[in-house]
Amino acid sequence: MKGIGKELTYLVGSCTGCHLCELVCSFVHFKKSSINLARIRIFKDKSKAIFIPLVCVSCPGKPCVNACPNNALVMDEKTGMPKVIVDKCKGVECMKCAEVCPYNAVFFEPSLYPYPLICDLCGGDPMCLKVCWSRALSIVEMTLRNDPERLKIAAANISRYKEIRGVK
Amino acid sequence: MLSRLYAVHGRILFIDLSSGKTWIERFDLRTLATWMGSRGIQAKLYWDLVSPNTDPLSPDNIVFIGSGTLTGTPMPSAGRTTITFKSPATGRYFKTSVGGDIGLKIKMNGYDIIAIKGSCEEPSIVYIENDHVEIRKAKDLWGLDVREAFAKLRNRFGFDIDALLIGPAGEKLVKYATLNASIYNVAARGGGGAVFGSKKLKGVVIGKGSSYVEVADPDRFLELALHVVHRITTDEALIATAHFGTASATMGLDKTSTLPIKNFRKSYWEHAYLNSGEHYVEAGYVVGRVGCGQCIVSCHRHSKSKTDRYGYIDTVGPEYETSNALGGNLEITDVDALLKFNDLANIYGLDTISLGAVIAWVFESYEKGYLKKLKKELKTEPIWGNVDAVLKLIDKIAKREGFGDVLAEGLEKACRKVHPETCKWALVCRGLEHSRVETRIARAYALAFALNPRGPDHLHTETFAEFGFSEGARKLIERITGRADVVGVGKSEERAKIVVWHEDMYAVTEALGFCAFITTAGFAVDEFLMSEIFRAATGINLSPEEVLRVGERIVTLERMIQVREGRTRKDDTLPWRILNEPITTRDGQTYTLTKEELDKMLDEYFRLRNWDIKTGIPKPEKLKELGLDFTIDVALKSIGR
Repeated sequence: MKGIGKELTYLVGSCTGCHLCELVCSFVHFKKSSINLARIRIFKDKSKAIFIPLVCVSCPGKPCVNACPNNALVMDEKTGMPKVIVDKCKGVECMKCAEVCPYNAVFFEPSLYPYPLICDLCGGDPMCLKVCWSRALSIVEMTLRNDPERLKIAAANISRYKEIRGVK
Repeated sequence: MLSRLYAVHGRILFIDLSSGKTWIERFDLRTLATWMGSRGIQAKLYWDLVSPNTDPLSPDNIVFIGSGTLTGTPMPSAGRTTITFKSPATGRYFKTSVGGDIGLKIKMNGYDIIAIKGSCEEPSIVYIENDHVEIRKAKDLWGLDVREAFAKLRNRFGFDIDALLIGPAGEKLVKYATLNASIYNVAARGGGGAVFGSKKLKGVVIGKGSSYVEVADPDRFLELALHVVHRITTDEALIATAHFGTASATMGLDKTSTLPIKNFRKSYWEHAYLNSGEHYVEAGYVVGRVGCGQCIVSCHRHSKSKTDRYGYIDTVGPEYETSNALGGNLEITDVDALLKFNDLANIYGLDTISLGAVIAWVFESYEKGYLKKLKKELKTEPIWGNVDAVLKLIDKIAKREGFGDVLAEGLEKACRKVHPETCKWALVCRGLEHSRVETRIARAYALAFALNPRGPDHLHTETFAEFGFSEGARKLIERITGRADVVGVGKSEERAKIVVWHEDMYAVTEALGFCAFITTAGFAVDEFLMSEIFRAATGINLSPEEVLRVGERIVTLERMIQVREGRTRKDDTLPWRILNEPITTRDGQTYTLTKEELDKMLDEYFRLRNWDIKTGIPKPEKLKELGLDFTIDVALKSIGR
């Protein structure tokens, strides 16, 4: 079946910061269009024209799943992405998953949605890929999940983000 | 029957800087169906709220900042914001358009339009985050350039803000000072920066917001959005724009002898390539593409200088207009210099088109024996190709130092002050400096520029299809005119038909927030697709003809606003040089555009529009037909005038 067993990753440097992936992500999940309901976020440093996509890369250690005190996060067998069991999730009261995520890819927007927003690959056929003309996003085979090259890109991306934002 | 608004919030945020009061006014479904969005709604608000004798630099002037109807939805390339105000350059109604993320931010904070009137006693900013609206003193920002001011604001309010800011030129009321969104996306023309400056308003800062947008038919809308993605990514013109930016136009214009060089004395150039988007990419100046909100084309450039002759430059641009206005227009080929000019104009907040016209006039005046003292003031000779002279003039204009103070008033006033004879090579008309296309040869542009309520300028009626550079362009001209033989430049036939379609299309394009490159310079969305998109977004049913009819309504109201401000057919003209001097093409042909030829095109245009041929005022029956009954009294009074 199409798309199954693949994960989302991004190419450094090719994102143009247009936000369309965010809007379409929010739209397909909520039928509402908002950059604040997206499961992917584009960080921008406008003065230097630097654009960094932040999204779950399904990292091998599964820190969010391990950190969840309520067993509300499980790995989705089909997509290889963490999945939120909303009945068990304590939402903004907890936010442990967001705290431990090494890629700043767990988002909360309590005024619009009470649970963590994490990429679910749209069930295996991600919509953001269809609107990204700059090829900043791509998906790779599940077997490449632990591919060092892929994780190196993700790590470089996130450290650049942290450096600009001045966070550890 | 529809019960609610979709795609828009129906909320206009009014801010009175004088009293400090803020309030919300609402608009309804009928308003949205009548005007389709920002540009139209704002023209109507302007008609209602800005009286014809308002001084553009007084507290009575109102600045309307409106996001497009489709802004905030997942529709690609629909993030443009229309800014409407009375222009200190032209003295009349002016609408301008800007990219960046400012429109998206307005929508995400729960508004469609922000209207700012009054003025502050001390330098201030407006800060908006959802329902929190605050006028804050900002003395520490006054005098800072746009980049510095943005950095300070970001430290204060966080990384997620966006801002519409002015630079020092706006503070000093330079008549072509700009409003900069997201630092580098510029509402450049008409002196909006001076209007903010006169209000002592450094900028409008908008937070992340926590609102969202819903559409009437989400499933259909998503299909249409993906269809537009497909149309964009397969359109020849847009692929070129994505690869090489707007300056990809340079080589095509050079080939067709419509590239104005040396203050419109030449129409092509042996060094054109050095001002082209292809060169910027191939020589390695461009290090990345930058997308406006929602725009996958991302024609904006992220560029860096290759040497440090003018300091190390890490900036955005240059666009086509800048490349030509400050490049070939001044006989400058050095891209590092061009990047420096562009960056200075950006951070000072100056319009590069006006700047180029002003500096070219200075160089030509000096060449012809005027402005003798300027050499001493600049400590260098103001001659073609002199980078140092350009740098010094930009600085003096932005700061209104020395002769810069005269130039800051705009070319129309400056040339009259220096010597009426010099107005012959001042490329300005109705207070606005001429955009960068040879209108003696590109005749649809000529007609559009003569009629444009802004002035002789391209971003109101971009008739780019006239060139026939791509398959989409040729097909469009044939569809509008029913003739394949009128595609191309140097032709006057059917120009009225071409201009009417483009004016109407451009108006609804902007109302929806689409970029003109999608509809009239690239060809991804036409009125048929637009009708479907509008229905899926808002639930309002407008046929393709009705979509263009909304465009006609907007264009006609804008004309009536200017009629009320004193405009007549006499104003429908072009700069002296365009109408009085011939131009030679690269294959040796000589073109003139006489007043008689322009008049003939104008007659045809007024006939098509059913406007009065003698006065250029829309006829009362036309106004009635468009539902513009409220303007009929003004029309009758003005025709009798």
